[in-house]
Amino acid sequence: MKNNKHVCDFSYLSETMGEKKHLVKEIIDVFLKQVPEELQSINNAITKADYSIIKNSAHTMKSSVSIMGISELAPVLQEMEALGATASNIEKIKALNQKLDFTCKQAIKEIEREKQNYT
Amino acid sequence: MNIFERKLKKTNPHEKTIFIVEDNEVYAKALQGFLITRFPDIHNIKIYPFGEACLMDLYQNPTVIIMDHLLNTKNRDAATGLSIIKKIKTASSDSNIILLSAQKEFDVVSKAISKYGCTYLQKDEHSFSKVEKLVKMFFHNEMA
Repeated sequence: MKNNKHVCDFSYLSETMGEKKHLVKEIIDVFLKQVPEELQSINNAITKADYSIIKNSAHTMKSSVSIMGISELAPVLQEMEALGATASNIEKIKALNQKLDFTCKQAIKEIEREKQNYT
Repeated sequence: MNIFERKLKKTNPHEKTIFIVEDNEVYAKALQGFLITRFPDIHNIKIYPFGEACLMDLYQNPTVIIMDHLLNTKNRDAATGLSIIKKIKTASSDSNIILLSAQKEFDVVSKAISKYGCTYLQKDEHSFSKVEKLVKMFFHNEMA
């Protein structure tokens, strides 16, 4: 699948932190560590059909991705959280997770490039 | 600094302290960074990934506590924000608490507001600036 559209919008982060570049870098570093762990956690939960973890992880990720302006993931995570809450439709969760995984991997590449501006 | 020095560190009762209780490290760091830029005179803005750790530091008499509700992402047994708020209010009834959450459960929100006197903010793109306004108000009230 090819997609040249940027998924991240760093304007919120840069406006929020002002001139404090070291703070932006710290947040980026935490994001680059945390989000792959969250993706792994969701993948494991889907394998086990553990709806509680799917719900909690999707809930947490909503906040993480909002900081990086990845707005297209908000409805995806919202739906995953809702399906996790009702413990239903694992096939739909799997489809949503594919979109989540693909978009996050693209976002991570963009964020790694963005990080160069703060080092 | 050893444990006794840390406990005695807060000798100035007018020193302002903000606690952020949030299990999402990205969100907590972003909020901490935002508050650092908006309140450069506040040197003590601490992050707690779960509520029990925050309870241990209540002796520092935080000016504001910003609390998420669901705190069990990393530790499934971690208490909810609402149950931690109950304990904080029992220990210190006049604590200023902001429940900052994506929580939409009506009973959680209404209980936090009506029973424990918290201010509720929904996590969205405007929530940091709303936190800033509330923190300014709490600081102003402390001075009055």
